[in-house]
Amino acid sequence: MSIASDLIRGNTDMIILAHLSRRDSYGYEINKMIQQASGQRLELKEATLYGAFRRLEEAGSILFYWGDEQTGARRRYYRITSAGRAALEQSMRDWTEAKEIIDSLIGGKTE
Amino acid sequence: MTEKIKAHIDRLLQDAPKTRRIEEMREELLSGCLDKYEDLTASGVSPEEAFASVISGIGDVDELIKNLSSENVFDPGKAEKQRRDKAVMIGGAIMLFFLGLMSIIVFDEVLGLENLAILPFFTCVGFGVALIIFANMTQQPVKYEKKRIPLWKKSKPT
Repeated sequence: MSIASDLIRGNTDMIILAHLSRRDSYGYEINKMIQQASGQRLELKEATLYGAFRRLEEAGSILFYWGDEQTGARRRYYRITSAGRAALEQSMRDWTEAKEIIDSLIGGKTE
Repeated sequence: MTEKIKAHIDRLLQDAPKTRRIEEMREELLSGCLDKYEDLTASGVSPEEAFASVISGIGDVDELIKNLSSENVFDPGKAEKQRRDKAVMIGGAIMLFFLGLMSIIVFDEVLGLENLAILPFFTCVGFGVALIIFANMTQQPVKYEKKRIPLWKKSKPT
């Protein structure tokens, strides 16, 4: 991961919520979606992903349920809650605002 | 190879306390690693390369263990509250003992009920002892501090 990882790390929770807002999912699938959507430029570490799930659970943004895998380890599936959707919308607004401010400060396009 | 992955995760978590949250973490880490391993090998990556990729993709588990443990193991506010609760209970028990002694005097000397004097005495002492036992069973701040020490010993075998 060569791109500005600190900038991205601060937004891990939002990225995960955005994926869960489309459908329920589990750790590896979310990471795989992130990888694909970023054109292989971003892959979260297992530990990062796990930490984010715990934070989101504690905040009441997501719930988990066990999958019914017949083989291998059982999976924890996550589902976004309505509080999670509200949190996602708020952080997307924050992000857009921050992006516009930074863009205008460094002379990029804002519109 | 899946056994190797499992062994690696077990090693990463070997110094972690055996709490429910750590066990859940072990299970979720393992399932994520196995998913990735199977996905990679299914897409044609060699088992060795897939293993290396899985291991390097785990990241900093120590930080997680520290966060999970600190919630369960040590909370200064909670420890302080427990210490105070225990002090109150012990204080209450001692008061009950004195009350017991006083009740003998009251029953015997004031009310003249010699035969019954023993009854309130044992009732008070009984409750006092029960309170002390209860205080020791439920309030154990000492244990909380003991557990903090060995957690973040670093072990990074690869």
